[in-house]
Amino acid sequence: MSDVVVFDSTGALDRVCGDSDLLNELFGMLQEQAGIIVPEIQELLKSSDLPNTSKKAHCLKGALGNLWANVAKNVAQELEIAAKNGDANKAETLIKVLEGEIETFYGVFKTYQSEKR
Amino acid sequence: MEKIIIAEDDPISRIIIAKAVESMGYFAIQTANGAHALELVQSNPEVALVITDISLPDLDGRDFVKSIRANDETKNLPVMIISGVVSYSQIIEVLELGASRFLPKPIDIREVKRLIPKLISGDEFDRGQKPAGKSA
Repeated sequence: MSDVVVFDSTGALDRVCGDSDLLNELFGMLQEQAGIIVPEIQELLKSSDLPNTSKKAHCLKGALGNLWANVAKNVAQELEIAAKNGDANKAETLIKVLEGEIETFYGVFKTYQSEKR
Repeated sequence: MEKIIIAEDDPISRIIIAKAVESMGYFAIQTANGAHALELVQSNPEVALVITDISLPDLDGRDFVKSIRANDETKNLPVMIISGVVSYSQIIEVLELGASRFLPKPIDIREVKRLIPKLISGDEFDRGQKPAGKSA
């Protein structure tokens, strides 16, 4: 996974037809979505609800993928698969990793935003 | 201006697609709701294309396609299905139900932009269908 970039700004800008204001707006929406879904997954894991954990991880994977948050998206995908396979221990580890990778992405994106100004 | 309905419950995906659609000069009608999308299709004869997620909260995309194909007014309307869960059986199933194209998520916006005019003009139909009002 070392050759995967945390945030592919070229890909992300391309996806929004070069509209950096829209990209910033979508980043805000992602923060909002992730701020809801991550705690939901944590609660679901506490109650060992792996099928719904997998569904929520799938949603998060899509949102992160849309913003080209590649590393976080890949972890969300691993979480989706682990939950789907019924591996609770791995899912619990991965949600912690995912939280960290999302924060890393936020940091990289904010640096990108400040450099663009 | 030709209209394109975008039915997608994930707001980020929906906005990204709408942006691409509008950048091409089409009018994007956005909805997160399958039943509303169906209503929009049936009440807007100028709709040229529907882009829909396969799994909407209130309506399965497969049922959505079936409903469009079952109506004489909309049976030839091109429908692009998008999905984050992709298997060969799923692709075959939606194409057999009458979807014009299947695209995986995350959306490749270049591919969407390449396909839109082709689907609307009837140049790229997997099932030999032509859009309403532009019959061969």
